[in-house]
Amino acid sequence: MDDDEDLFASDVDEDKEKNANPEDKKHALRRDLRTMVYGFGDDKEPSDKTLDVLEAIVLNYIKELCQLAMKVGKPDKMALEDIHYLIRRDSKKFSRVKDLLSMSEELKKARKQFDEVKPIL
Amino acid sequence: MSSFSKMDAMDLFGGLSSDEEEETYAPTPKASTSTLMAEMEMSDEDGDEAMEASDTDKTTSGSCPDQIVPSMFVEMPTTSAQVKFFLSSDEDSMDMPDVEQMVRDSISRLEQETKRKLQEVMEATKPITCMEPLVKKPKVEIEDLTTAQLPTVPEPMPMTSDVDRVPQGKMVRKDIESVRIKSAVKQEEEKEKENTAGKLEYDEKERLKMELLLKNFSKEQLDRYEVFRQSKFQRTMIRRLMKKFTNNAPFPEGAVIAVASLAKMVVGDIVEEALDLRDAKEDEAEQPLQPHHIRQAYYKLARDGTIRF
Repeated sequence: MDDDEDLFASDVDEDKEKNANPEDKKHALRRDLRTMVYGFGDDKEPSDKTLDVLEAIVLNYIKELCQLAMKVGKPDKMALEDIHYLIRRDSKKFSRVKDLLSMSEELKKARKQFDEVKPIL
Repeated sequence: MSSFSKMDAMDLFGGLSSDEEEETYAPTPKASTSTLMAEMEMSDEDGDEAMEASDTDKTTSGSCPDQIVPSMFVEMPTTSAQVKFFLSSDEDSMDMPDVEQMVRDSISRLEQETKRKLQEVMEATKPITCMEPLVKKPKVEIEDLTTAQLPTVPEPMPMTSDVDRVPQGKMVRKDIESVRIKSAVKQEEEKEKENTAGKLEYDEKERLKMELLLKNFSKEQLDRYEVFRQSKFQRTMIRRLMKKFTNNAPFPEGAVIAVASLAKMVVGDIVEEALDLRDAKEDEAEQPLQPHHIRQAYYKLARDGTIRF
């Protein structure tokens, strides 16, 4: 749980961090996070402290994901790795990611076809 | 000279069928088609050449002492025209269109038959349709038959006439295996059909359920649902973060999509859990979520393994 303590201790150091990185003041995940939390069931105006904690969790999650992905395989990060991790633990996430990726592929194809047809039209 | 040519031919047509089929090649279009099919099945690459040669050198029994050599080879030394084994020979060009027509006819016949068969549950006793020349690839055949594409023309063929006749050793084995495989393939195909039909049905049901649910949403619920669907993390931000965390290592675009979706799902898991914890206590319900809810939820999920790596 050490990680978690450090995670939440960042609340205290947040002011310092803000001054250090004025450009990512609120880490711009904040705005998206606000709407997202509302979408998931919280109030229309969630408390800032809640958002801080959540943001820290998300950043930590992404960081660990990236670092683990780097470990698996070569220094490069491959998309397949990510997906393969989560197979084991979370079928929900896995299928969601799979769907999204296949959809993005289809969209790409559709756009390509549209671009090819467009000049003719 | 003749022996040399014979040897060459034998090398080329090592896998050819016996004389019997070549004899019946000419008489009726139907029989010849099946022979044609059989021969094409037997030797895919040399199929056309075999047709060419056998057509021109139909039933000439030659002075060839070696009975093993098909009759077609015998003619080789006599006339130059009949030596040809290529598609491009002019004399034989007339045969090609007919062959193709016969093949098309048989294919359409095949398709109709298989469609009929697929609708009834049948024992694999009568090898009316041979689903595959190659034992190794049943899956390919399923698709070919169900989509009924012409590209399958060169390969699979009906073997009725062949089965009736005394088949060669190779063909017996293929027959038995094809029969067995055909039945297995049919079963699989039917299962797949059921599955896909079931899946479509299931998807349809889910869609209808969703529609029904949405119809009964209150305004606030609708609003919230819309926000739920549309909210996401900016890909640019995610990419920037990933670059920072991976020390500028290269990664595919798909990874950004994946990470963004995973992050959203993590948020969702935590918030839902936190809401449950909040609603468990009456005094805190209906108030915005507090950090300690989030923390508690996070610990719980980490313990349960939902957010573990």
